[in-house]
Amino acid sequence: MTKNNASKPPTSDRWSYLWLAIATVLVIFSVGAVRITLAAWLAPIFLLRFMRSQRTGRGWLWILLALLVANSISWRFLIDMSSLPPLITTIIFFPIFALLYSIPYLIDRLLSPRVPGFAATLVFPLASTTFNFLFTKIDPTGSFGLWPNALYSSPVLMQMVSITGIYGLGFLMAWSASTAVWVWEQGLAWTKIWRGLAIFGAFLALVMLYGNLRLLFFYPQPGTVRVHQIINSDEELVTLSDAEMASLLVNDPATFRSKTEQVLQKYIEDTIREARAGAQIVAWPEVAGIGDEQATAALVARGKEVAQQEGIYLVLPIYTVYPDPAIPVDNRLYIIDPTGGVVLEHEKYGCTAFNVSQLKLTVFDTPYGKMSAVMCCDLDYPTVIRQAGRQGVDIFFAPSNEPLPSIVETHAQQAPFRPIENGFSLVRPTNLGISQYTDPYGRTLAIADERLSSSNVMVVQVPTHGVKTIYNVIGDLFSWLAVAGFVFIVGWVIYNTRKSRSAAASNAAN
Amino acid sequence: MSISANKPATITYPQVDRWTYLWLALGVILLTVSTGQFRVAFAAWLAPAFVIRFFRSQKTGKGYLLALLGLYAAYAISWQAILGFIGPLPVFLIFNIFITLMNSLPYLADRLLVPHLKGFAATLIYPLAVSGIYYLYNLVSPIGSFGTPGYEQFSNLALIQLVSITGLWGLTFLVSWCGSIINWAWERSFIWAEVRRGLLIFAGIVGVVLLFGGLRLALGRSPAGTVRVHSFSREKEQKVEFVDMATDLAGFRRTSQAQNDLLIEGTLREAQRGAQIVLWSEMAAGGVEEDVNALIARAKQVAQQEAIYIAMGLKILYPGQDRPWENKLVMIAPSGEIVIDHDKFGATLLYSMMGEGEAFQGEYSLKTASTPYGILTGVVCWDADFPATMRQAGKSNADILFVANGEPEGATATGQLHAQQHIFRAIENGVSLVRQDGHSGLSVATDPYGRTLALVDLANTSQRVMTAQLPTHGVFTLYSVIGDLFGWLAVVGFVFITGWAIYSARKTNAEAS
Repeated sequence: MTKNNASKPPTSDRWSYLWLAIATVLVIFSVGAVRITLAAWLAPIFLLRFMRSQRTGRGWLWILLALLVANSISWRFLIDMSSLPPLITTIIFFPIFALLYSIPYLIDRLLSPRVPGFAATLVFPLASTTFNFLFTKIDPTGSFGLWPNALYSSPVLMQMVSITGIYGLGFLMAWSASTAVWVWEQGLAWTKIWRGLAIFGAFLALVMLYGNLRLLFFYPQPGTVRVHQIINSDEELVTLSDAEMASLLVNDPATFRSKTEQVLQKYIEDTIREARAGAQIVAWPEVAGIGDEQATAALVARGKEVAQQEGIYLVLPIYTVYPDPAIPVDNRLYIIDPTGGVVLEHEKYGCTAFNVSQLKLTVFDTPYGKMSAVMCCDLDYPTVIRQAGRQGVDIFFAPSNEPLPSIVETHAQQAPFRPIENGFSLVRPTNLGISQYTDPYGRTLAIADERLSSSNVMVVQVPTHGVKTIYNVIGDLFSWLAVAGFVFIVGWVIYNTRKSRSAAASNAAN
Repeated sequence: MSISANKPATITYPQVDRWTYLWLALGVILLTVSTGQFRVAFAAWLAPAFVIRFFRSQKTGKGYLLALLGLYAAYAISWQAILGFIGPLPVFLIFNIFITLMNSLPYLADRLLVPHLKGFAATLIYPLAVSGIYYLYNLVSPIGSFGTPGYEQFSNLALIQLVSITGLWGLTFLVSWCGSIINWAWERSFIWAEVRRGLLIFAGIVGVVLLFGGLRLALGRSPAGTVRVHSFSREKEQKVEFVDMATDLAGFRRTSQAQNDLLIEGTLREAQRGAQIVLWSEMAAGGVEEDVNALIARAKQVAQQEAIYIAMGLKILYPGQDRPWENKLVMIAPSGEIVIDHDKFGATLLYSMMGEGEAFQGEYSLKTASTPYGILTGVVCWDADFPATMRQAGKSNADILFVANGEPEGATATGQLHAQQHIFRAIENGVSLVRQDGHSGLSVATDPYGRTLALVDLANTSQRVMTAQLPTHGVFTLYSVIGDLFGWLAVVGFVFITGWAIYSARKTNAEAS
């Protein structure tokens, strides 16, 4: 039993706590408000290395602390974003999330020493993919916490999600980290590491080749529709909290009404103008149709008239404020067709949804292809948005509003993952943030940042055909395989441990 | 020879390697997919590694011949789809000899010089040669920097921010360096203790470059204020059939007048849709001098009436006169004045090659116009492949660069590559870019960091129109100040390292005798 001790953790490493410190800093820039791609690749390497150079219990406590510190910094904005009271949000998002996200590191520490050779590097990616995949099915923040979101700047790698969903990309990142740590543990001795490196390198090369060729040679079929998006919202008004809006409506209804009426009037006028400038679809951002119950009802009626009169589709979000603060604001999206009929009515379910598995999307046919839509944070729930891919949606709308400056970029960065997974074009008109249009391969083909723009209109020509992705067909097969692989590896380790124990016991008895 | 037992054996060339031909094959495959029509970014980092390995494990003469054959095959496959438009296949195949020879020189330099330089410095020979040669070539070549290694990294926006400091040449150097680094480690059998320092230097530099780019993208934003630029080209169904000018001048003029009317109509339409600046593609309109003058007069009226700027791609013909035809970008201000009158300078030679007659050779310079929307400048198509001239945009603090573009009809692969290359000029000079193609290429608008603001694939879109909001303020870049300093450094560095290698070779010879 003595001969293997050298390779069994804890690996002796006098810099162990330095790695933890580096990891903590890197985690801050990997998930949360500021994402640096390189940091997200490196952070898990140092976390794994630290964990493996510590005794299990103590290492895990330190990792919990590190994640708690990092999360409390990088996720601060969630307190403002969540629909829950700040205290509950603080309790859920910081310690509980630190606990949850530490699980794959704990599993790696427990299992990987018992798996021989390079195969041991699979423990961490299988564990973290299993965890991410299953947890996202119930995670009330959707995919916000997934590390692959940090790969927004690598369109080539991102193509992988068209096969595996976003979880495959997480597998790739986790495997690269466990491979790096494995190489480190082998003392970077070429003769020991080259086979493992070649296996991982071949996998990575395959992923990159797929992405490169897909981006190089694949485009949607010809044919586009002109979508004009308009942004007119009153910044002062839309940055008020729901409670402040309600109290304005109660205490100063005249101001509230004159402000909202002005906005709504302008939206209608601009819609007519853009229809006459060639728009076939006019889209407004989230919170565009702000007003009291009467005003938003009148707006929808007027929207129907305009759509009919101009022969356009109108993407019209309303935001109904009630004088009774007990009644929550009604944040709802309508899409009106050129006959004046409502073809989609959707109530926003993000940014904190506890019923992810029950949510249904509406899909409708148009001469410009199949369409569907959600609002803002709703888009961050891949398990829900997948319905659109399976139903062959060509164009997907996600009118958004970004009252929190700290997540404007983050939100825009994670949006293109959904089009690549599902093969639709995404039109995301965004109030106070970055409006974008992305093709079914995730190529961002138009951007307008409302904070910088002098014009309130973004005109895009969106392909009327989506593309079929492998992910549409096979769904989460890759993730289920990872789950199966994880279960297998756990079973294998348990079986082997028992076997070697009973062998040791019988040896002792003899 | 008195080498103590614990020192590593001296590395000798040719290296003994029974897989040498496998490396050549792998190198050729990777080279094929890394250039021309394919441009697979990561292959460009790896391809030279295998070609160098092959060459270093061969005798110089034989190795060079085989490398030439391999390179020729690779470039024939990858570049034919891009450069096929210059003429019939034999013309391309002859041109490909030139491409092959030029690209073979850095490998030859590496093979000849590396044996005389011990240590890590030897890794610099190949990348200095590539970036130096491509830099010098870009100064004298009729097609500018077209096809320079490094452009294929276009999709890695963080990485290519490097060109805002070094121009293209720093990127060319970095990508090429990877191959000689891999060989350096390979020849030391990847023994960590021996190769650690070198690998860490390279990884550190790549890391710093990525961090610089990442931070520049994360924090860099142009100041608030945008202008709406609408660019458009004739629609597919508005095809005008030109008759031969020599036999039917009147018929030709009728056609070009009809074409010019379409462009004026389109301009009015876009002005009414909210355009503040309207851009046409290369040679979108034109005709004989008289008709062009009439068109310009009409455009002046439109600019005044609609209070817009119009940037027009024009082709002016002089039938019966011994005078080359002209390819221009003319910009008219809302006052009705002509504020930019630019003649195409880039690759005008190609027209003669393609049998389109001699085109006027413009001066290698840019014109600028100060406007309420910032300082504007504009060029025509291939002009934007000449970084040394385009740098005047950065030097004159231009804010927006207009490119009237016209890829040959149906040349989709060329069109995509060209659009990707032109975005580098925006990053180098800190200007926004708006570029309208004429037929089936890409129209594109980017901010001064190369981020796509609008992109329209004219082949697949229902309307050949692009609408974009461009920042009216450019950003500072070091490149606009220091220009192609890195290109020169590569040349000087290469000369220096060659001298050093020759000197140390002589010294060794002298010691041996």
